[in-house]
Amino acid sequence: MRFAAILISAAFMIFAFCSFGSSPLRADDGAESEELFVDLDGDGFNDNTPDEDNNSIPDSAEDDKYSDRNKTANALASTEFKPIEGLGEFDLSSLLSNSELFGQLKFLTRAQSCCRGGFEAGSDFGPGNGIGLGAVSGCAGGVCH
Amino acid sequence: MYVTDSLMQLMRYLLIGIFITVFFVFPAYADFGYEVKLSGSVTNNLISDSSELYDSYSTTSAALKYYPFAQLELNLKSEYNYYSNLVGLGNIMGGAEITWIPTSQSSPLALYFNAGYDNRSYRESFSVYNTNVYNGMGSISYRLARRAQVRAGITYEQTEFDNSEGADKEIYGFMFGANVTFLGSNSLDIESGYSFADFISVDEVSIMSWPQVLEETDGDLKSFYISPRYSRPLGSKLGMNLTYTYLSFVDFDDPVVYSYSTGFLSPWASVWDGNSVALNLKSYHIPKMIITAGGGYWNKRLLRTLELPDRIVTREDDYSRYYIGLSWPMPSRSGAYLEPSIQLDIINNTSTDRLYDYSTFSVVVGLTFRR
Repeated sequence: MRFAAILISAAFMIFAFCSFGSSPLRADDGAESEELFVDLDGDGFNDNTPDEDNNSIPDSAEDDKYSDRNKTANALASTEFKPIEGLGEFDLSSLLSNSELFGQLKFLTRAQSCCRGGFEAGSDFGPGNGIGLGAVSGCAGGVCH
Repeated sequence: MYVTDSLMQLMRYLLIGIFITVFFVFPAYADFGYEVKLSGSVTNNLISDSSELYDSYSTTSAALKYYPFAQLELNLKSEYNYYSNLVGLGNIMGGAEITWIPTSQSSPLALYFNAGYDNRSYRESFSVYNTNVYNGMGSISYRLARRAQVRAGITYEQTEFDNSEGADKEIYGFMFGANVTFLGSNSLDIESGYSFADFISVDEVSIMSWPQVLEETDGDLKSFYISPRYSRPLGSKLGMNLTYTYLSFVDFDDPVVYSYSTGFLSPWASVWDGNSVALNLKSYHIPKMIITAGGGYWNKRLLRTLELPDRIVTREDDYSRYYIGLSWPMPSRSGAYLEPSIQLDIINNTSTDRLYDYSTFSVVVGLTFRR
């Protein structure tokens, strides 16, 4: 228990240092322009990295995708149209389906939907712990080890 | 101590009622999704003990998801498991789940609620393991700063055995956690929690009495855990996490609980205290594919179990597991998603009870389709 108490204290000291040492989120602090590293699912990668084709692989880890995109961008450079301006108050989320909007909300709550301890600890080791494998679960035939 | 039968009935009807209401009241805004998973596996030690029973099995699961509006997901799910050698272990599961996230994307505050019900039925020879599981969870998170988030939650789970009431249990828990990013791309996530379990234990004196008349008493188990997790990228294509978990029973009076000869199906197989450490890796080095690999070690003290007629099993295990997996996610422009995958697992376990000295090797091949 003493070891646990030391761990908790150390964790909260680090947490307090990081929380109060950085600025809180404000609309005018330019946060959108900077890619912010956040890893709530624990896979070691930035959760905020774009994944345009939704294949669960960040675009930054797909070399060919970037090179293809650059080629396309260069080819279109001479005939580039300006982006549409004056969308005004148009809400882009109104174009999304309920399931897509729910998926976005679920992404925001990804750290809240499970816990690592309790009386079922260890059952989510491996594929279930945020480093996932789709069809292959940590459970076999209805039994989680 | 336990929720009464009538209350359980009420919960069941309530869940069904909610489903019917949202299916018929909100269809104009609704949309559906579904998911099908198929997997086949081979293992040299199906029931995780020294008997080393070889078997192969397949799992088929399907889920229908319904979104009456953007904050709500209703999920009807089913699963069928077939075993080619130990046929009696075949089972079918049916269940329903509701998830509600009432907060908006722009809010630093996020709420998450989930409730579900599962029924799993085995073939006649294993029907003693038939279960009904009711669970619920509510959690809240708040983004304190650009690189810091805190969260807290409560959980509830009740497991009812249809044909062996002595194994029923009810678990309540609460947890809190914090996630911070420091020095660029280093992430530290700490979670701690406390759980309570109500269960039925067996009076130790009555086990040894002659003639044997087992006396049951209400048990009360408490457990504390803390788990720091450190994660970071190692280059642009490799990510890792290192997770330590410390679990400890609180005010522990070493109860004896009912168990069964098939230890891996025991309702108490997952209840233990001790330490664990696990390293997990995720790699994108093969184009379009995801490699996952990891290893972990667990030092477990399990509850003492009664194997009829009068054998009390005291068990402490050193458990290690290593896995490597490969998956190939293939999303289409139409919104469909296909993912074949394969995983290899190696488990080694040494125990104070020689029955549980074992090693396991298994291969699982899976295919997921969703839309």
